[in-house]
Amino acid sequence: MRLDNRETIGFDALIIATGVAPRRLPDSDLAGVHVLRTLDDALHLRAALPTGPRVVVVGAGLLGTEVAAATRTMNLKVTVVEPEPVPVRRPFGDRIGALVGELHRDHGTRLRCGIPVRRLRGAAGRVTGADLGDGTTLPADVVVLALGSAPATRWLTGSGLRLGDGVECDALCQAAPGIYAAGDIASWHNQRFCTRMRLEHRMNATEQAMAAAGNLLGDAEPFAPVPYFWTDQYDTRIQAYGIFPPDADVRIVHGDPVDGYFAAAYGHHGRVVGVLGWNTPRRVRTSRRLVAERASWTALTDTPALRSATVN
Amino acid sequence: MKVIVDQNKCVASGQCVLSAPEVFDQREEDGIVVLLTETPPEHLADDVRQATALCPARVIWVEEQEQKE
Repeated sequence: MRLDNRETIGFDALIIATGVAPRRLPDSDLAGVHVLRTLDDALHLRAALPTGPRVVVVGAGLLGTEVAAATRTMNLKVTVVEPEPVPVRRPFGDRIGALVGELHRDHGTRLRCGIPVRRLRGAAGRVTGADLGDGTTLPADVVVLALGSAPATRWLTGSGLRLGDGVECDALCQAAPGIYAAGDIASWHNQRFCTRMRLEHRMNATEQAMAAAGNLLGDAEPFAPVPYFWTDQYDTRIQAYGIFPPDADVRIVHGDPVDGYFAAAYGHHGRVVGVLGWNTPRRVRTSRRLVAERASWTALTDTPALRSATVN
Repeated sequence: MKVIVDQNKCVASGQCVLSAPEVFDQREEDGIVVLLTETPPEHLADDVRQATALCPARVIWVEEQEQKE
């Protein structure tokens, strides 16, 4: 492995963990435009907030909605712009996405969904606003780009490793003999869900690091976790176990969205593949086993007795 | 071993309960960690260490008791 300073490091085994880099827009180098990836990014953003700026968040995924909630809680004027019709559609789908949209509106955050940002506007090197796809301009003093991220694989071009959506690994997180990948950059085959995945979640960084290191040392143990992630927005805690395919069926299995707490199950190809808790941490954790055991979707949705038994 | 948790920084992920259900629980209302026993028996030590490693908020600590000579 050759470093930037031409130094060469030999290895017997290698773990690739270079993560992802945030996507940006043209004109992202204007002052007042932020991304949120590193600790320094977070400190820069925080330092820009006490003066009471008008905030525009570009992208209503998990990161964008969390930034919106955090800045709105500081009593700032916040607008989120998102090309999809509802926020967090990719992680959670239309139904839960609509509820997250309501949550934000209830707290005074403006949502402009179904509209892309065309370009940023600036004057004297500072951002002044964002031009939207509908021809309007949103004035802004701080713009946070939450457009997702891309695996940082460019340094591996020509290495002979297979690069697709990240470094492509087998079920053991192995990319090539003696070479493993872990964390945001690793795409691997999760045998529990019979599918290739790449996760950018906090828990996976720990779990996959332990698995890759163990396999490097000879464990030969397929990494087949039930993914876990969460997002805290205002007074609401959303927690999710499993996977949430866009074409999954969604059923409320406990509580009611109207009451501000519930658990939902996601079914795909006849199996429970995900459970989501909305202000029900204990309940959703006990429902996790439906995902771990790949419980039958029809048994869950058709049998009232089984349904109540799943939420002990 | 002695187990210490910081409820103020807990994010209610429940990973500790999945790792060591005899040692950790969650409050019903908000999912914050509840320590069931401060000094778990030796056969649960590995489960507790796993909970410590997996906690996404890093709010579980273990003090290993020194072996008596």
